[in-house]
Amino acid sequence: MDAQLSASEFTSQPLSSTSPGFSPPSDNDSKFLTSSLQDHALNVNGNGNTSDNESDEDKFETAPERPLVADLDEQFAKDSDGDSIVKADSGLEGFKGEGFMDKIDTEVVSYGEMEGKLELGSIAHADQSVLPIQSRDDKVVQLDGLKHPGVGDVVESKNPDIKATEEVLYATLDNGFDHISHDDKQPVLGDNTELIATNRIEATQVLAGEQNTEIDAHNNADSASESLLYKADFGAKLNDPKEEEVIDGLGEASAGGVGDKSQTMDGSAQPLATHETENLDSDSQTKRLVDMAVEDSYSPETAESSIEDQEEEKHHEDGGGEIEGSDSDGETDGMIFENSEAAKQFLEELERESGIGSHSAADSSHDHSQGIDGQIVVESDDEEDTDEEGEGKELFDSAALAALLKAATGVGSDGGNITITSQDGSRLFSVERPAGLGSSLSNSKSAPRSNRPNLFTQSAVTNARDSEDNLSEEDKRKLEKLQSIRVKFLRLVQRLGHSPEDSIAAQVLYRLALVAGRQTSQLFSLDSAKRTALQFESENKDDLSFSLNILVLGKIGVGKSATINAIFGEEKTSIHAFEPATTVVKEISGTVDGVTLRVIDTPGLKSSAMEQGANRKVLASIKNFIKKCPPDIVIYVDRLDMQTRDLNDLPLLKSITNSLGSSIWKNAIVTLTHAASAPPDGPSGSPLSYEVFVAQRSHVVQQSIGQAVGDLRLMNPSLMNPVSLVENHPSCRKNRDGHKVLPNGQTWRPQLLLLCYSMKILSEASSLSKPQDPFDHRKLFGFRVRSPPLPYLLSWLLQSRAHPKLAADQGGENGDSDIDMADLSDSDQEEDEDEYDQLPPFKPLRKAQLSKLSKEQRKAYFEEYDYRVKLLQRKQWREELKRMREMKKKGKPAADEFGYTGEEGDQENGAPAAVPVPLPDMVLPPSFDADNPAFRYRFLEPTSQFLARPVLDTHGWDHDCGYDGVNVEHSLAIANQFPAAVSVQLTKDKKEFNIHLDSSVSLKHGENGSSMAGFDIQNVGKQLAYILRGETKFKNLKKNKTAAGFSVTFLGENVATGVKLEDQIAVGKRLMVVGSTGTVRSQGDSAYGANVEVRLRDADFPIGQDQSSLGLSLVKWRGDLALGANFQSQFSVGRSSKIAVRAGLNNKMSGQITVRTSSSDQLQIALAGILPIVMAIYKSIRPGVSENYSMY
Amino acid sequence: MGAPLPREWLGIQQFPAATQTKLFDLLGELKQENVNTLTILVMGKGGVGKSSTINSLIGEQVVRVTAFQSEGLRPVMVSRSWAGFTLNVIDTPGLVEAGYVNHQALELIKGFLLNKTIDVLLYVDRLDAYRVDDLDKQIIRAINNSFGKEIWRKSLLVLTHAQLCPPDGLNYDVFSSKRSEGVLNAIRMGAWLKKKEFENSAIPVVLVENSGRCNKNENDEKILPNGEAWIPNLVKAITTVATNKSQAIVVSKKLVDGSDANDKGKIWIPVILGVQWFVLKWIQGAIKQDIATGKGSL
Repeated sequence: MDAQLSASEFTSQPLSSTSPGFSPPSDNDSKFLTSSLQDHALNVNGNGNTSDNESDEDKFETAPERPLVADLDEQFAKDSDGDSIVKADSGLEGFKGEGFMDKIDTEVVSYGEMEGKLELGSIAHADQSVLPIQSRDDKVVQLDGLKHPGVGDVVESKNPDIKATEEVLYATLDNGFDHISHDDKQPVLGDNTELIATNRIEATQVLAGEQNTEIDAHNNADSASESLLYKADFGAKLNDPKEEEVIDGLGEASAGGVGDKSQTMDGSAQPLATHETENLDSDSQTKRLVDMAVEDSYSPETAESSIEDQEEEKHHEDGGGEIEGSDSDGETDGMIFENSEAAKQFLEELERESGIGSHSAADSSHDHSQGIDGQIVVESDDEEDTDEEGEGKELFDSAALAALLKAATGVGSDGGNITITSQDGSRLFSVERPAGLGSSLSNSKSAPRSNRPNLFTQSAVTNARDSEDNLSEEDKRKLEKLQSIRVKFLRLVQRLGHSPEDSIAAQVLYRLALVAGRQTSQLFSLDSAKRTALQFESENKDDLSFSLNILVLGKIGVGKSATINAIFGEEKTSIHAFEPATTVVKEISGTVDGVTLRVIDTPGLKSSAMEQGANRKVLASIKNFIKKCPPDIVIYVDRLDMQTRDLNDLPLLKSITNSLGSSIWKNAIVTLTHAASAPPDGPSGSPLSYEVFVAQRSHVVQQSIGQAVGDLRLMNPSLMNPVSLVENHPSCRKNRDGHKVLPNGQTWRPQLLLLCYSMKILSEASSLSKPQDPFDHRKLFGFRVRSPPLPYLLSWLLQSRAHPKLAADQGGENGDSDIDMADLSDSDQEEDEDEYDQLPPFKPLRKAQLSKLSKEQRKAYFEEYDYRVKLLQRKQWREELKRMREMKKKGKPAADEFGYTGEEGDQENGAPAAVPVPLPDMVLPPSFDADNPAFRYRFLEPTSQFLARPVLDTHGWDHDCGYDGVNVEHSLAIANQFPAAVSVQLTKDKKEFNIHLDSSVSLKHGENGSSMAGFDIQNVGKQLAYILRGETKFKNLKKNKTAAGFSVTFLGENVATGVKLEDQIAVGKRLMVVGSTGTVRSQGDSAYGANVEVRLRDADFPIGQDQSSLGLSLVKWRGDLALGANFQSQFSVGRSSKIAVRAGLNNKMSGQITVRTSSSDQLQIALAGILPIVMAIYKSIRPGVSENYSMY
Repeated sequence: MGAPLPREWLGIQQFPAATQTKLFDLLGELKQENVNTLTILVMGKGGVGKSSTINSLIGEQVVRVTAFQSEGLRPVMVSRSWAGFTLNVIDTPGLVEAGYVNHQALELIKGFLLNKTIDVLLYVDRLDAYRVDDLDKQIIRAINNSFGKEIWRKSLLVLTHAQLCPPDGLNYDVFSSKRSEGVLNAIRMGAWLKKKEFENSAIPVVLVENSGRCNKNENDEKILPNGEAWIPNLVKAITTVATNKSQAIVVSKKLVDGSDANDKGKIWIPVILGVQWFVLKWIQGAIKQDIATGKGSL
């Protein structure tokens, strides 16, 4: 392959298959590969681009003869006796014959098969992807060529062999739908899982035996036959060496076709196999959604075994719509759930479904570094196709190169690996990346991600991003641990007799993969974990260090103890039908499958609201007990056959929540006993189906729990507690192995244990990984520990602070004062003073007199008046300065004659050490009115040294008093030497309590330097942050001041440290440039930031308040660069009004403009009312910005 | 009561022939006792199968049954007549809401029952619930307080979901007797019946299986796991209770509103006043005497 491939050939693939519009003519130099590629592209596209493909059509014609359908049948007949691999082999001989594989064995066989599968997948995909496009072709102008006729072409213009596969594919698809539509829950899942399972079997060839045992009897036949069909198909095609190439090419082409979606670098089998399942999954999901929406009782018979294109299209449209509407599945699921009758059940399905879907993603993320991207793209590609196209080329470049690399190195190099799949490729790929691939790769990666909304949580994305870096030691260790967890989990799964493709297991594996991030591809793959697990299990190693603490809670008489007995398989605790058998909390330990289980059995709780006191007693003893051994899992037991719908358990659940904390529910499993009881009769008189019954009942319980906890998980299916079913009745139906079987064919015990194990494993993994776990938002919703919001801390650190100083009369002029007295020349002063003094005497007019003046006169009067006021102010200012200077010269610390001194507010616009005047005591209205803030916030001690002010909430409602906080400030001088300032602001409303304390002490060294130490407390999110900071500032030049500082922040158990450097240069009298830079670091995570600010002030600043400032800030955090610009300006308009404009913009193109007008003129106030006072424009059209912003 | 003529009891015809003959016999018995109207009140917790039981009894889908949704808050009366005999069945909403007895529902029921006569009360619970908890007692107490102790003489315990396989290897009969014992005990305690009183007026227990999956015998009658056809059993128990010596409960205004607190103890008012007057006099006398004998101010 190495010699025959060229990048350009590959580049042509994706273009031809996805974007016919600009497919460049490929160099058709008689490479069979090219021909087949084009061939395939043609098929897929249905001649979307005729001009470019003309030459290809020739190739198409000359393409070698394909085996006919008869052939296929024959193959199938042969294959159906289970010997499919051999058939595929025949094709692979050709493969080998071509000489680009130096090793042929079963691995190669699997490769060949996968190629075949690939093709199937790709065709399926091509069809499917076209349909949604077609449904909104008004938008997708470029894709016109891909309109519906194209789909027809796929079938029509296809070579016999492809047609055959097409049909086969449809057959299987139909099969899937059949199940899906007629069987609400399990079979569907089973089916999908099966599809995955079969894929995996082929892909890995390792776990085949085990997996097959797991397949349900019901689905077994189907899936087996499906896989056989596939195989037969491949066999049919593969028997010709050339054909094999074609298929390979097709595989590649489909890699291209799906390529920019999956970003699978080498177009090898696995990603597309998973793609196919993905598609099937999404199909079935859509289908089911539709079913659900239309009619939840979709009777089994109504499902046609042949699904028309049209119908499929419909589903696709729906699917598209759904995908479009919801990037976070959970929410839409919730909506659908709302609408549909049989809500719960479907939700559960969906969840699992997504689990499966993501499972494939997870797989690919193990196997190829790009897996997660692949998943992202696949999910949203229906809507993003136009975007995709732009990227297509670039994306494919890397894909092609990767494939090239892979081909060049050969399959054989991968000795240890069983699959010759992209795992290989990705490894090579990552190895070779620095040699020139880097740029295109990162381009291709970041491009789709940037406009892809939050399909995954932010952390997933960042994880992925981070993985570009080399693995640090820490990461490696983490990954090793993770891998061991994974192995453990796989072993547990195996011991339970489940397959890793089981929906729960798959979900867990997927989550583990998410935790691992993308790094796993190289060192720790799922496959290797599987191998290790298998190895351990076959060696019968009993070193599985896994123990589980389970707390069992529930109403009396629901079967808690019986469940425990059933879990252990022996009579561990006494049970009694009519009497409460368990009267004290007790621990029961035992070993199940080598896992040490410690189960805490508890006395039953009572549901009557009157008896909650007794419940509390029980719960208190439980609490004491679980202090000693904290449970990993909480099992809440209830009966399935209790149709209580009067929220009977609410008092009980509330008691549990109150006593044990709402966190008790985060690892809770709802277990419904008596699961074998017959469903009640539905409204129609006929019994409900078991699935509906279970779903409704679990929904009731989950909802009650949600209500008791009082959070919003009601609507979010992903946050609901998982439900498991239990039947303890001795006469419960059993299967051959002696496991109790539920009416839905489930063996409940392994299922329950698997659920327990899974949750434990997940929490283990979550404790292992950084707090920004992708999945802990599910389980630890509201309880999660966050990493400190470094950018926030950084900005807090970078803020330039005024050092508190002694009152002016204490000689407190510090080096940090922004007003440089030196700047004000004496001559200036004299002049000004003279100016004022020289003015003729001026007599202010009374209002009555004023009204008599003519307009011009009035204007002139006001001008004169203003001028005089200004001059007067200036004069006073000078005098003040002069006084200060004199005082300073004397150098004597003046007595603290003012009770309250210090500075508040902005240093810039305040005179140095302006003496705060306490607010005048508010005039009380004659009658008491509780709504009047004057009564609420009376400042009773006007002479206090504390300055207390009510805090007005500017965003309050109309008619709301708006005061929800108080601000107290105090400045003092410690030992008459160290000025200190403390300000505390407390805000409290119904929901939250905020405290913000700033305190600082400064020390002055000499004329030019001062140091400050500070301690702040503030709310960050739901936690309190304690910030210790220190700063030293000195004036090194006349116009330049430099400050250096550090901060230590304690936030929860995290400690963040930061340093900063700040410099301030005054350019002339009016312009000031402030630059600062700093970094904050916590737990190996750093944020870097820099700020530059330019301030322009009015010429006569302290009097004239006009000023503008322009700030630029740059923050780099987790590889994310945020750039922001801020503009702020304040100027006077006329003599009695002022306008302040603020504008901000960041590199995510979101910004905000605020215009604030304040006027002391009545008319202008009215005008201001017409104008929007505050106008905020958010331009965050591109979704994903919010994701990047959700730092906390 | 039934201003409009009650509908014909057509449902009776759809019972299997064997059941029908038994029912006709029982109705004949009632006629002999000169009972032409029978009013049955059905009460119990939510979701135990009250409505289903009524549907089974009447033989039609007269009351809507939903497995997971709460039925309305209002009681419903279903009347059926058959050959001059009228059967009124009153379905009530579940008496429990969020862990409390739903007194609002109870008031509604009482209001609905005003000026009606209750011949039989069916107290419905599940057979397959294992425990009797305080809530059951509360409900029973609430019924007791509403209609008086006497109602238990006219009542019948119906245990639904009777088609079950007892746990722990218990015998079906043992299980059901234990369970009924438990509930009866709860009734006794909830109604503050004296043990003797309770034993005298033994409350009959009927097991019921309303599900469509109920087993049937060769006569196509719905039977319990112990082989009994339960619908005739139920009707029989109803007739027995209806014709026993106790008076039917007439829900009068007084019963509904409770006794008028204004009238209570009115007779004592002058007496107490008189006593007070004497006490007052005595105190006054004592003070006067004190002043007379006292040594002035301290």
